[in-house]
Amino acid sequence: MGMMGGGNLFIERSLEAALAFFKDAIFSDEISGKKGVLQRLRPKTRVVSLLMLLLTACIVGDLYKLVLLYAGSVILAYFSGVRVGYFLKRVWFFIPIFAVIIALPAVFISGKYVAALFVMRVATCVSFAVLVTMTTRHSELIMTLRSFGVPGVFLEVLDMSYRYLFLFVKVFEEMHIALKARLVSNSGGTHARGWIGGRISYLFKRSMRMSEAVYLAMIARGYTGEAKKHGR
Amino acid sequence: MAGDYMFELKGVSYSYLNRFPALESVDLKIEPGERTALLGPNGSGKSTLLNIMAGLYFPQKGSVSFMGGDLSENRLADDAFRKFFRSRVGIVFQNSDAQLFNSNVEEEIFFGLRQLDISKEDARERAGKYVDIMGIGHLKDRHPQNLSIGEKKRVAICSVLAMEPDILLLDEPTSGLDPRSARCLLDAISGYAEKPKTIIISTQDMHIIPEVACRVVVLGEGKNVLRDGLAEQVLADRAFLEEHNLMHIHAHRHKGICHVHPHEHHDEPHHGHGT
Repeated sequence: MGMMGGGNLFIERSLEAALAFFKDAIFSDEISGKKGVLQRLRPKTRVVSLLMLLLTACIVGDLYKLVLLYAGSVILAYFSGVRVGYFLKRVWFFIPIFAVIIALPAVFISGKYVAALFVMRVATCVSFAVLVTMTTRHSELIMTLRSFGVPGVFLEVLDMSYRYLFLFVKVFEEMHIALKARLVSNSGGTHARGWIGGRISYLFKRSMRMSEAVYLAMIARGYTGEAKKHGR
Repeated sequence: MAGDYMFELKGVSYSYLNRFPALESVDLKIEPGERTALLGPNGSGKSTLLNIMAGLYFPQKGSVSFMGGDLSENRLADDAFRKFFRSRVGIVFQNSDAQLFNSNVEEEIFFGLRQLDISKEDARERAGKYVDIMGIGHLKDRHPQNLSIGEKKRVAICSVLAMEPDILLLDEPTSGLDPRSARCLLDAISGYAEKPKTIIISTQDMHIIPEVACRVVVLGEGKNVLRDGLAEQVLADRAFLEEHNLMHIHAHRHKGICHVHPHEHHDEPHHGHGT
């Protein structure tokens, strides 16, 4: 790491942080495997309960009630073995991008209260959604959604996206390590940015090849457009 | 008579993107119950040939027949024929990551059985039988992405064996596996081959051939069939194997003396005593 130039160092740290976030936030089974309040519930009950809370957050029109609901999500997270600091970061990381910017005009048109209500509503909904994914194993979540009658095609796409996101995060990490192993001198930020651009293009090509191979594997086992399931 | 063959390929050529040749004018006949190894160096077209026999690729030139009938894209568009074909021909890919796409191992094994409308009870029975054979019962709730290479390969093979195909196509099944995983796979394949099944296996690993195949078809760097014969005869022709990049030369130490000679790794009681 010390051998790299400033631009490289920044990019490398960003890459490492992004990879760590992906692995920890999306693919880790660590929290879903704990024996917390939410994990003790059956997956179906857990998902339904959190979805009900999420729906409540959508229809509550009072800021103070929303704050209470949000506080409830943080308490639930705490008693489910989720580190509170990590949970807050995960929820609030995207809020400025997706909610605050959208809510900014409302500050001038409808007033601060409406803007705050909007931001709080988004944060509360995101909190409950994050709690569902953190405390439920991916395979359990898919099975639960299936039992709710969510269309098979939607679940297949969701499932495969999850699986191949994981695979490509690993591939990207390996490429990054391979680069580190071969770097012997400083290279400028321009070179580093070029490298990242090149890897993104390579990853895209590789994902196209992989999608073709997966499709052939499905066809070979009798897939004809929609995966058939046995009733449970 | 054409109907005597499981597969009959006549003058089959295939190019990727119509630009990169993968097979050149291949003729091949596979009889029912035959155990055939496709042997060839990297890029000789072994995987492409398996994909053609699996009805996944369709040649630009030549013809492929399956049990006496044409094997074409149009014919596979017919529901009845597709179901008949897919239930009889199973393929295990070299890259298990491409083959495992379900959310857990159990789903993976049931996938093919469900697509072929196997009843729930039969599917359970078959899945249980092959899960035991492959020794993967403890993995059934795991996500395939979290398995080791050897475990992924065992799951991939189990998911195909559970469909009980009459013809099993295996693309480099032992590549990248540790000895114990490779042994487990070879035992499963040999056990499956004891039934009247047709097995076609592509490999560069010559030492597994006597165990899994009686016939060897050698594909060359020119993407064509160079030799087709009994396994023991083809594997005994060292000059031929060396000429076509199927044997390597490396150093050995015999009784303290280091010397170099052509070497392959099949059926040898003592490592390094070829020639």
